[in-house]
Amino acid sequence: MKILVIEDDVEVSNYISKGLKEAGHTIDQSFDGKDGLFKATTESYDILLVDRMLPLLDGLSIIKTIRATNNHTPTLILSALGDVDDRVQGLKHGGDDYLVKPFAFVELQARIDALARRSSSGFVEQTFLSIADLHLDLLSRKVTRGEKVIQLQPREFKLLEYMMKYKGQVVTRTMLLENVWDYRFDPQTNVIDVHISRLRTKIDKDFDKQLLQTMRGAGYILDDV
Amino acid sequence: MKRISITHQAWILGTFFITVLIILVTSIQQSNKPNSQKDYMLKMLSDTYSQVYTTAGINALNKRIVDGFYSTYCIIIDPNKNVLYSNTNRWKVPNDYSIGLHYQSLPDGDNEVWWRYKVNQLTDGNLLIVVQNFTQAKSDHSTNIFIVIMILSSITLAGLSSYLLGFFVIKRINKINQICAEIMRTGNLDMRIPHKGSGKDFDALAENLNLMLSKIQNLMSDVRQVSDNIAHDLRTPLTRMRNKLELLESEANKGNNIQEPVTNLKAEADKLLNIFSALLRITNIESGQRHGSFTLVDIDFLLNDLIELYEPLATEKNQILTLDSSTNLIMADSDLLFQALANVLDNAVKYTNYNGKINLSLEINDTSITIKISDNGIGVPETEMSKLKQRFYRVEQSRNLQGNGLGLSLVEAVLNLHNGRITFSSSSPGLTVTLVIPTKNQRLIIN
Repeated sequence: MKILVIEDDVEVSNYISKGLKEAGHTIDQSFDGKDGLFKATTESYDILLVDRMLPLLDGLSIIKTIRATNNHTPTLILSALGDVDDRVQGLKHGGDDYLVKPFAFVELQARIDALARRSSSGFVEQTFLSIADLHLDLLSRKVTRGEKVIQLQPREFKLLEYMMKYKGQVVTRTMLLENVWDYRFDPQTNVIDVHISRLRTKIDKDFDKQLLQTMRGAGYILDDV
Repeated sequence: MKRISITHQAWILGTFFITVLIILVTSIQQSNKPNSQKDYMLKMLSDTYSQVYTTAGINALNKRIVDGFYSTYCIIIDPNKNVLYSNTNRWKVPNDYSIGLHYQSLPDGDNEVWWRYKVNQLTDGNLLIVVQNFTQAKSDHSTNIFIVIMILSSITLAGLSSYLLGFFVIKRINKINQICAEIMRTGNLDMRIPHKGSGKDFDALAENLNLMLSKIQNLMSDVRQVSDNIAHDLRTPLTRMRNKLELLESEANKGNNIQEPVTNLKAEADKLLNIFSALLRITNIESGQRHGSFTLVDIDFLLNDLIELYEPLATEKNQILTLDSSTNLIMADSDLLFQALANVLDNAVKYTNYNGKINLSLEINDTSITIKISDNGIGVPETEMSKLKQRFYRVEQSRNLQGNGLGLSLVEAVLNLHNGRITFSSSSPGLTVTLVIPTKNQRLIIN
């Protein structure tokens, strides 16, 4: 993928770019808002990473401007402003996702993958999701693995639905918290882990193939390996 | 300050004096000018008298004339200035008795008497003079002067008394000012403004300023304590990190695998970052700029979500988690309230042993809602309860458990934002945390 990184902190920008290049992406870097806007409007990118506070032109203005020209390139806002209000403001201005600094690289990567997937043409709102022999029907809200019907609590269902949508990709705990639970908060202990392990018991326990994997230091992945 | 205000007063006073002077001068000037209305009256009178004299003769005229009517007198002279008729002896015919209107000032003892007279030609060749003493009009001047003097003296009096009053007010203000300046200069918040305790005006001001000083003093000592704690609590993990880095350096030099220590270091750094973001978050909430995100929240719904989130965790420890609540809508920031309740419940699960019991209850009355989270866990000694809300404070026996001592500080900040309060009590054994959020006057908070 071709990614534009608009970030004025050279060190952060290089750190992001290096990581993303290693993951096989093509990276363009902009170190101020004006240059960023110029590049974002004159070239075509798969994803924009935009810092909120930039010299010459702030990140939200960049996003607002390119959205006004009907450019819908998926945009991830990077910001040190992590309050809910800031986040809401960022998304309102046309950002697709919001990542608070400092962040772990896996978190950034997981979000970029999710963004790319969401915007790819093949990603339509499906009503039937499956991975290996695990099937989830969004209409009848029925989950089966092989011949076995699996009973899930509403939240477990939502959790599995989210993970199946992003199957084969790492989803971080924060992503799960933001998308599966409707509250924006930081749990003191890793309550998410317990929910995951409960879900794992239900979908994987009696089967040879383990679909739900823990990626140490990153999050979880639902994968058919 | 004092000098300026006196100059100010002098200016005001001077302006008044000048204004009054202008009024006075113009009024005198005006009364010296012939008064056309009175002149007209004199003319009418002389015309009437002339007509009566011509048609009915001097005797008829004598009957018609009212002595001293409007201080007017009538004299008839022949062309040689011989008096044929006069009803006054106060006025002598002057040298100038040409036809027309004349003004004349005559000394009368110490005073000056003003006259005006109108000379009319009669048909028989005699002259009729109507003369009016207009010292009456001059007496208007004395009334004017009297009024002016009254005004001047009252202004002077007012000025003087306001100056005196101002003098004492300024003295008080200067005293307060001086102490404020002293406090700012020395940074000594122990100083207080002296007051008599009468509770009136300046005393009330002094008392309020003193209260404000006390409040500032308390806040300052809070801040000092917090920053002491922060310094201490952040130094510990930073030192630990530094030590690990040193170790890492030597391991790397030896060519050993450093994968694991690096992972540990990363976790350590994350912990520090979490502490910082938690601190920032508390500050952010405390600054109270978040009322914008208040919405109607069904507290029962929220509590059910909370239970659902923590139920697996409690189940892992074989704890029983129960909830008694009913639907009730309040204005709140649902994310923050959820966070606050999660922090309390998190503690409850953490500090309650296996097979323990945790109960959440919601009580509603007319003015507030009360959420109680009680457990039968290890509890908190009564003496430590008051310290629980302090930043970084951790009960001694919990120090080995995961946590940063900021959880309840955040809960308190969230409750303050909702005008609520948090209290702790023993549920022997265990701890009961009570959160009270007022529901009355909530609109006021939002606006």
